Amino acid sequence: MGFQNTLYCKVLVLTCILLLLSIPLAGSSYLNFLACMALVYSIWALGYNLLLGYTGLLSFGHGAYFGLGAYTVAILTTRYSIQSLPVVLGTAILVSTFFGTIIGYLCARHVAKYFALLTLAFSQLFYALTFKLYKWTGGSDGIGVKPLKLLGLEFSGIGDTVSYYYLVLLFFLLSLYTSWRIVNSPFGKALQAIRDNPLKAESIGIPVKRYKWYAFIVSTVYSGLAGALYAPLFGHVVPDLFHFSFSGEVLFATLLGGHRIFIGPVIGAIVFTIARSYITAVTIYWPLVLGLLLVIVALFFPHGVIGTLYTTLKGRFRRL
Amino acid sequence: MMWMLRFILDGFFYASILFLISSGLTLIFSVAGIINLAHGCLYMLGAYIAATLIKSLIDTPYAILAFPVAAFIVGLLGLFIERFIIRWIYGRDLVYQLLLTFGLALILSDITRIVFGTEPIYVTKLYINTGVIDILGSFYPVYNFIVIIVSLIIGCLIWIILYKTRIGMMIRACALDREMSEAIGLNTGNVFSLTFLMGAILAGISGALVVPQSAAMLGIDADALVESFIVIVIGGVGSIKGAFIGSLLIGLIRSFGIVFFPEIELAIAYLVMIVVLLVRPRGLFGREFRVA
Repeated sequence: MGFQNTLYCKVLVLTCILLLLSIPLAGSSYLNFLACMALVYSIWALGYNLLLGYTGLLSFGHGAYFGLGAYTVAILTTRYSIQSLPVVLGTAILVSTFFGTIIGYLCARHVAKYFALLTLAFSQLFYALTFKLYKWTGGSDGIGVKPLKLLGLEFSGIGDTVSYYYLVLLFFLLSLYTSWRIVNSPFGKALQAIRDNPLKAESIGIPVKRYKWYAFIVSTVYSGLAGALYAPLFGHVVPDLFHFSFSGEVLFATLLGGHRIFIGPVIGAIVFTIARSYITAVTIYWPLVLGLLLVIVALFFPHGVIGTLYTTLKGRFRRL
Repeated sequence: MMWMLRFILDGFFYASILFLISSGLTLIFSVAGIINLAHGCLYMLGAYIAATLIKSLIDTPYAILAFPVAAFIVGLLGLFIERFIIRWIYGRDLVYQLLLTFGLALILSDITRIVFGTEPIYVTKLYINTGVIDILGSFYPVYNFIVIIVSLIIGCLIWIILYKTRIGMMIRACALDREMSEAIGLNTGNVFSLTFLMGAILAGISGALVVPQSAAMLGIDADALVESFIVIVIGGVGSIKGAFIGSLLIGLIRSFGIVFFPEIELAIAYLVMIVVLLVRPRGLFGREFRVA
């Protein structure tokens, strides 16, 4: 644990923050957009990893809470012309957390495979509902999103990308800080105990089911926030956000960076966003490519991408 | 009362299709311990293969061959996937198993899109050609009856294979305790292959059977997958009887829902699932299964 307090670590964190702050200096609005996307995915993956990496629960339905956040923003700004940033973001997080609380209660009572199956089924309910309630949601066309307003400033990914980037960055740093605090709190340690051995955790007095439920709720707060920030960035939301293959993307991003490392999901989300933007630029067969990547990762990287590379490289160096 | 009969028959029709998909899925889940997210894609592929074949053979009596051929091709594909890909991850962490089947699902659905195109394929001619039957004064398509009967026969076959044959005994032994079965000399690898073959055939045949009544189109894979998840949750994992009762319930909810409450028809199915989860967390016929 001494690592976190060393000078080296502080310098590293500071450099990263400075680097993130200086991205808009490049002056490319596409780069800003991409960076926003990467940070939004990072927030999502950070919350998701509280469940996957720290509690050991594999959810295949976190697209639902992301989508709920995004759709709440879209409906509030477009249908009701409410554009005040704190109100819209707050409502979006509340809505996704509300559904997360209910569905989390139903799912957290179950273990491993059953949990994954249930979360997937529930996310697909929202997918179907967006088509049925087309008067509100616009059906398969989706709906547009108007910019958010605060103190006379407009925030959206369409107009001034620099201000939107700083908004996203602010929330990203906030999420990073809070999830770091959660992971290192007694609650976070209890979650890790549940992950490592649920029976032992139960016997030392940790209310396993209740804590799993809480972890689920906390992760849906992050998903809702990420979704809410995603909507104005794209200016348009579509039902695909609720589809389980979208939930699969956050799982893949998290595993790409490593779900046993705190910063892993962030690295994974950044790599994933960049890779996707390059691959979709050259081929229309993105699902096929993603599928192949997933199969390769699942078959040949038994400890996650970073973990496997780390052990392989360590073995190499030892031999040298 | 006559109009009721029609909806009940429609419900039985949906239930037949759903039963064939979900029994395959639950078999694979309980025997090999894999949630096969690619199962819906096998169903979709069965639908596309059957639709293409029927379309080119529509005026000949050979059109009927489309069904076994689709089931056979999809079955082989399932066997291939198990032998060469899924085989490697049985003992591994759940995360990687799901990642793998999810990857397979993406690959299969994208390949389907590339091969068959994005336009839906309709073969309603076969549906119309089979004609209608007069039941108590109202007309009902014969095709739906055929599907209901075929799936009942297949259901009986599954039951006979599982409970009356030596192979079925092996499959059930593997589902109960893989290590113990291996210890007493069972070739569990072959049993898993067989299970995947059976599951894939069931998915393929159900996809083929649904085609004349609706169409082969993209996106039906996820619908089928999720509906069979609901069925499995209601009926209980690993229970063929549960899959039967669950699909009957969902099928009837669907046929009545489409008429009376079209906007929340699916939500009702989820509501039933939630009630079952709260009252009987293991499903109606589910065993208490091991923690892990």
